[in-house]
Amino acid sequence: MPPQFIRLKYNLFALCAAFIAMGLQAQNVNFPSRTTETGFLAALLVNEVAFPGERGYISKADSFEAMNQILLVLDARIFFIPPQYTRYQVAQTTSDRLINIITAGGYHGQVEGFYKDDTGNLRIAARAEERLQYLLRIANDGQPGTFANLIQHSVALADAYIQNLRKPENQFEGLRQIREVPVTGRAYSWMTDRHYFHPGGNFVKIPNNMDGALSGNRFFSLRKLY
Amino acid sequence: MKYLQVILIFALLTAGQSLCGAKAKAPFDDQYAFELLRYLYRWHMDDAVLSVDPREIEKVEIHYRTIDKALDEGDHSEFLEIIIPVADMLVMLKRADYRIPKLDIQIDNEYFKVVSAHHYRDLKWNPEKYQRLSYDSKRIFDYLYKTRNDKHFPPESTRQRLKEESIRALRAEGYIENFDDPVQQGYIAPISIVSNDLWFYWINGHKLIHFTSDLEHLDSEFWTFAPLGVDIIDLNEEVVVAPAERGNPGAFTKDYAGRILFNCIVHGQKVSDKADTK
Repeated sequence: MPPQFIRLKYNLFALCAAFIAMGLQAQNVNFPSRTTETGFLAALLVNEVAFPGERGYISKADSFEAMNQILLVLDARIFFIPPQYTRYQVAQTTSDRLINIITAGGYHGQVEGFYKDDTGNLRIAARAEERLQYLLRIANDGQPGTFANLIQHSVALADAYIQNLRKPENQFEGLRQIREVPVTGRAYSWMTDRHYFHPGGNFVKIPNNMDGALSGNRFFSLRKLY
Repeated sequence: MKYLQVILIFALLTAGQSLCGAKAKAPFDDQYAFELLRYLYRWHMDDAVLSVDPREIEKVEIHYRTIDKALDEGDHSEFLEIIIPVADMLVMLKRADYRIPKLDIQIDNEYFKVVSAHHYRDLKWNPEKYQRLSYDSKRIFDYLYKTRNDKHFPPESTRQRLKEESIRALRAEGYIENFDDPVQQGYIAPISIVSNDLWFYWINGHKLIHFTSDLEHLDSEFWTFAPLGVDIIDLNEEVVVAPAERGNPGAFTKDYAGRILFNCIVHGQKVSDKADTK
């Protein structure tokens, strides 16, 4: 059987399964379409934080805060490029549009698995979509609990930002020094909290005693150049 | 006489708890501390991170302190922060102890597990805030050297599930091009009581597959989280000298990919199977 056919078959299967799952869900959470800015951003927020049972999970409040600070990294890349830096240096794009900030660099780019296809349509890696569907199934089963609360938070956060540019409090805004290194304030990158992940360049790891680790993620500020 | 019996029973119970690594004694009996060091030695340490020549120090120290975190209601998990000065390393440990009502799962780790381990060239910390354990340096490095090839692997039931979930995850991601090879081969990395990570190297597809969760992988519910806690690393596409090189912060360094491969191939267990990927 040609590989293309197998791939098509599995895509159709996944699509059918998704429709069936959507029909059966009790709808504790109404998740917007991933082709909209709100849905794409909310999917990213869900994908990046730990849920109960996952490595890195601390608490619901910690995962809420992780979503908040991830959104603010994207916001900082749009509105707060520090003096002597270019947006390209910080975000691998010259665009100040949120969607372009997220999808910069493609599939293996700034946000792994969140990209535009060749025709410019928003796409999410199969693994991220599978994870989201799995979490939605749990969230929509029975009474709303932690899973539903976390997904609801992602949607509300994304919607408030896209519609009204409403932002949560930035816990890294006032950072001026990390150990001996002067920094710009704000976080400009986040990554899974493993020692082998580091964005490199002038990004400075925000340590534990400055709350730089949230829900399995590590946040990074920028070295001050002026 | 009855009083003596009660004391004897209590003493036996206490000894039993210690041998089983139960919470009253863990984490830092020597057995756990040595296993933690061995895990870090295997997965995180290298010549470049050692701050001193091991022959020039008398003691290897482990400093630890409890970290209080605001947890969900009913969550009794514990967190420890570890400093290992000889490697300028800061390690976060968690002993998960909470319930997920939605999934009817109780997570109750027997041992503390490594959540993260970071080497800092400029690690600064206040020893007064930590408890200290001190070991003879020669004893530690002799132990690490002697046990460097010791291996523990998951049981057959876990290996079977690892295979099934790997195939599912690879298929979901569209990695199907090597599934028709008549023989499928791979390596499972050794496991440790201080980590919930499972690493597998799939030779045919040149992929590293990694499963993890707050649950121990011997727990059958570990696989409940397989769709959530899986990473696939494409060795042909995602390995670089430095992540900044391609503007891909999620890329793996050649150094770390090499370390995973070393643990899979040199220390690991080879598995092969006729193509059975339907």
